[in-house]
Amino acid sequence: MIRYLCKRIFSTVCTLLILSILIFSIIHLTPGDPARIMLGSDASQEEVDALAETLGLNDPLIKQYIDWIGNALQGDLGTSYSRNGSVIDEIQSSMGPTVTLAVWAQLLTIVIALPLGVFAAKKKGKVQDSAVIAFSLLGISIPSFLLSLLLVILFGVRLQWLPVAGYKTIASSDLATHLSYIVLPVISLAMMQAAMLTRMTRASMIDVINNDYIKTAKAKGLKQRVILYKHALKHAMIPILTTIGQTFATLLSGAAVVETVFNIPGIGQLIVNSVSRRDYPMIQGIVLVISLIYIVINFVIDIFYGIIDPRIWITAKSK
Amino acid sequence: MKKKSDKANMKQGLWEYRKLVLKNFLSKKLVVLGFVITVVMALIAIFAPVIATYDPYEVDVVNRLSAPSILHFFGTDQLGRDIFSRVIYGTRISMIVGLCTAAISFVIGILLGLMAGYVKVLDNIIMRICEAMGAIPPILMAIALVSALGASIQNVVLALSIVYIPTIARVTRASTLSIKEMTYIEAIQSQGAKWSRILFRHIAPNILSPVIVQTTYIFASAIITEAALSFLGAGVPAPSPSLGNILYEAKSYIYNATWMTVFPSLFTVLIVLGLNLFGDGLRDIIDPMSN
Repeated sequence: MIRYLCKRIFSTVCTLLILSILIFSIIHLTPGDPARIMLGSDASQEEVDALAETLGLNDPLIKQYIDWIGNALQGDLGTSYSRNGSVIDEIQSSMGPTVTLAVWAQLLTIVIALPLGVFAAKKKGKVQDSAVIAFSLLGISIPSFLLSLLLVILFGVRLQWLPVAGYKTIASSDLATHLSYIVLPVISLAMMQAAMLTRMTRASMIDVINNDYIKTAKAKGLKQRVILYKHALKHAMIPILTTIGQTFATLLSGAAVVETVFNIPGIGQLIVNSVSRRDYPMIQGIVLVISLIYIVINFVIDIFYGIIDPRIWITAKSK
Repeated sequence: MKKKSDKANMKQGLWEYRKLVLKNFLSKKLVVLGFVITVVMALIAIFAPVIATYDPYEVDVVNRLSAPSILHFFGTDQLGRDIFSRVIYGTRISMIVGLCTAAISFVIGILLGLMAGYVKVLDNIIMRICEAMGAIPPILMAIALVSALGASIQNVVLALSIVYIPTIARVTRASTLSIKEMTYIEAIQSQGAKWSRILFRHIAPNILSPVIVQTTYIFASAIITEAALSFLGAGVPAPSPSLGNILYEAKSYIYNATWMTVFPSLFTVLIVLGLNLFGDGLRDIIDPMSN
C-alpha cells in the first residue's frame, strides 16, 4: 500500500511539473512582445518596457520559469495586470459562486445518473433502456451554455418563474432564495455530465451483471435491489468514480461559461474580463488553479480505488 | 434458467430473434439518421453562399431586431443582419473549425500515439505530457491558447487541435500496445522488417477503427468548444459569424429577440447530435460488445 501511495505521489508530482511548464509556456507562444500585446498599440514604448520589466519578461526563460514556479509554490501567482490586485486574491474571491455551482451540479449529476444508469442496465434492450439512451444522447449533444440560454428563455422570459441574473449566497439571504438563483445554472451544467455518467454507469453495470457471482447472488434468492445496488454497483464503481473525478474540473470550467449567461460574479466573469484585457498573469493563474484542483481530486480518487478494490495495491507492487 | 416446454422455448426464441432484428435495425436507423444530419450540415456548409438569402454582413438599420418572417426566415439581429444567412455561414465556419481540428489532431495524435506505443523511451515522455495536458479543462486551455496566439479562425483551430491531440494519442497508444504483442508482429520482426515498416504498414492499419470513432467525437467536441469559446468572446472574432458568436451577441437581446438565440442553438445541437449518433453507430459496428 505504501508503495502504491509513493508511486501515485511520484507520478502526480511529475504531472504537476509538466503542467506548470505547459501553463508557463502558453504566454510565450504569443507572437511578438507580450507586453506590447497586453497594452495595445496605443501605449508608448516606455510603458511597454516598464510592463515587461515588472512581468520579468526581459529575464532569460529559465529564470522566469523558476521565479514563477517558486512564487506559485508560496501561493503567489503574481499581480493581475488589469485589476491591480494579486491574482490569487482575485481568484479566491471569485471562486465561491463557481465552486458552489459545480458542487451542486456534481450532486445533481450523481443523483440523476446512478439510478438511471442502473435502471437502464437492468432493463437492457427494453423500451425503458432505449428511452434512457435517447435521453443521454440528447444530453451529450446540448452544450451547457446553450441549455442555459434556452432555460432562461423558457423560465425567465416566458414563464417568469425564476430569476435569471445574479447570485445570492445562503449567508446573505435564505436557502430558498439561494436555490432559486442557482437552480437553472445547476440544471444546465449537470445535464451533459449526467448524460455521460448515465452511459458510463449503464455500460459498467452491464459488464458486471454478466459475472458469475451476480448469478450466484440471484440463485441465492437475494432481492434484486440488493443485488444491483450492493453487489453489482460496488464493482461497477471504479470506472464510474473515474468519470466523476474527471467531471468535477469540467464542471468548474463549465460553470465559468454558464456564469456569464446568468451574470454570476464568479471565475467565468474573471476569465472573460481577463481575456478581453489580455491579462496573462490572471489567465495563467486561473488555468493553474483549476488544473490543480483536477489533479488533486484525481489523486484522491486513485487512493480511493485502493480502498474499494485492494487488488490494485497488490498489482501495483508486481508492476 | 427456467424450465419451459419446447413450444414456449421456441416462442421465446422467436421473440428474442425478432427483438434482436428490431434492435439492430433501430441502431442502424440511428446511424443513418446521424449520417444524414451530418451530410446535410456538410452540404449547408459547402453551399452556404447559395443557400443564404442575404449577405451575412449586410447591415440594415431599418429592420433591426425584426421577428422571423417570409423576408427573414430567422429574423434579424441588432444591426438588422439576416439571422438565417448568419446561421448558415456560422454552420460553415463551425464545421470547418470542427473538421480541421479533427483532421489535425487525428494525424498528429496517431503519430505520437504510435511512437509512444512502440518506442518505450518515448512512451513515458509523451504520455506524461498528454496526462498533464488532460488536466487542463478543454475550454480553459483553448481560452488560454487563443488569447496568447490572438483571436482568428486559424488560431482557434490550432488551439483546439492542441487540446484534442492527447485524446487521439492516448487511444492510439492503447491499441498499439495490444497489437504490438500479437504473433504476426513478432513474425514480421523476426524476419527483420524495419521499424517504420512494422509501425506504418502493419500496426497503423489495425488501430485505425477505434481512432476513427474517437475522431468523430472530437469533431463534435471541437464544435461545442468553439461555440463556447466564441460565446465567451474569446473565439472566432466578429464580424465573422460562427454559431458561438451569434449566440454571444444574442445574449444581450434574450428578452426581446429570442429568435436570435433559438435558431443558432438549434443548429448547434443538430450538428453535434448528428456527429454523436454517427460516432455511436460506428463504435457499435466496430465493437459490438460495447453496447
